[in-house]
Amino acid sequence: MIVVPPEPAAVVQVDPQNLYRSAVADRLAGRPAEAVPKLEQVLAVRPDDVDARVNLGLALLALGRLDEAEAALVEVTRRAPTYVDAWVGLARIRQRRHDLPAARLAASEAARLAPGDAEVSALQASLEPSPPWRLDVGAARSRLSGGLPDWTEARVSLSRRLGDGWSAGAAVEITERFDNTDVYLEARMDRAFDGGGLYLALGGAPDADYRPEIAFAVGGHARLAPRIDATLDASAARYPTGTVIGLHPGLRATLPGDRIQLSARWINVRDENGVHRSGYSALARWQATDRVALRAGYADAPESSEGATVDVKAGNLGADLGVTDRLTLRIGLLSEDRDAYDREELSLGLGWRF
Amino acid sequence: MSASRILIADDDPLLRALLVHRLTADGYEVATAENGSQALEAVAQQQPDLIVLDALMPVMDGFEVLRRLKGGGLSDAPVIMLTALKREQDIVGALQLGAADYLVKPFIPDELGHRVRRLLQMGKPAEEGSRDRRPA
Repeated sequence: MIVVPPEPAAVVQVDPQNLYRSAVADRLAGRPAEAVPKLEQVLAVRPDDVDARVNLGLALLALGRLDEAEAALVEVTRRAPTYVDAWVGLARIRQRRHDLPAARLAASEAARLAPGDAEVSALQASLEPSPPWRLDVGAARSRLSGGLPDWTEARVSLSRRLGDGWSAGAAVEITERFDNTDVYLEARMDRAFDGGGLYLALGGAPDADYRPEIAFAVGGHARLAPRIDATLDASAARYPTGTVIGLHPGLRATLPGDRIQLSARWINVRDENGVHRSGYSALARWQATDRVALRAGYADAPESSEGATVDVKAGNLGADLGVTDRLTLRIGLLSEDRDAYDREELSLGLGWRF
Repeated sequence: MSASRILIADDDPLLRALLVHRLTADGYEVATAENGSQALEAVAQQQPDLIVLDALMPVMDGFEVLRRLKGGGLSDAPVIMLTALKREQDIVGALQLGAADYLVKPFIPDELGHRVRRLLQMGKPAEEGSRDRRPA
């Protein structure tokens, strides 16, 4: 038997310094995916090159590969503890993970090492606690099939962070459906804690036609495992036609990179006639950039309105656009399919922190 | 005089990096552990002079580490609990288990540095006397 020796792999001699310069140019030009393999090649030859490692960490950060980015930058701090860009990168990683206390710690280290640095000062400013007040205003208009009149909805809510994880809020919703107007008022308390949160809401529509006369909701979420939360929402609502009770357990997962969140709920309702109905809803949210988040969802579940619980299939698409650090614009499209009619809704909203 | 040895046990790589940086700059010899089990091994091998211990860690939490360290007589080194838990029962529980101090995250690195210095100064005579002691 003739054994053909394998051909030797082509060995390309690349000057690590040229490769490094090319990688930095890629990263600064917004091509982090091209920079990463080049920097890894440089580090294979020069593992002590902290400049290459910092650039690798920052390129991985730009790609949303946060765990790898953090490992690279932590290694830089071990080899070169006073490397300011490493601490800045670590702060930005924690900022992306919404771990602001740790982000502030890393940023304060950068500020200590580089007092007066403009980038570090801007970073620290962006990590300041968000203002305690939040105002949300929104409006929606729905077109119904079969020549039925449009629905309109307007909502205003105001909430305030009270400290120690507590926040309180109130909302007013004015809806017009089939020429009847309901005004629904709601008060809500939230309590956030490490790895979870709880909420309690009480609302009602005086002289209700189709909204609940009185409604009570309680729920929360708790961390089951890294990146996985369990959710539970329970509610009881008294309508002019009877009381509807809901219990909706669910799961929420955040994918590595922290940009994509998936959630699903099992919808269980005991309707106004005492009949158990069930369904599900699923939602995906993608933080496309620091300022733009996109969401898409689908539900096939019972819904109570106009005094009756009916099965509804609904798909929705939406976007949250950060106009400034404190102002967010929300756009949503909803398409519902129910036995009596179909509904298409366009919603617009603004959220303002102050 | 040799530098005091400090063990940092925390599962957060950023906090480990920050504390290593700060305490090394202050002249200490610093070792790290990523979980409670590693922390116990490091204590047995390195006999640190002070331990900074996170309460919530994988494999074995900080309270269990503290219980074994102090209950089992594994180390006389003062322990600073460094944790996000700020309920009174957590703080009192840690102190009852033998923690010398308790810092709630987010902490101020300079404050930790001061507490480390104070505890090491306070513990010096006792530590020197107990250095050769071994668990029964």
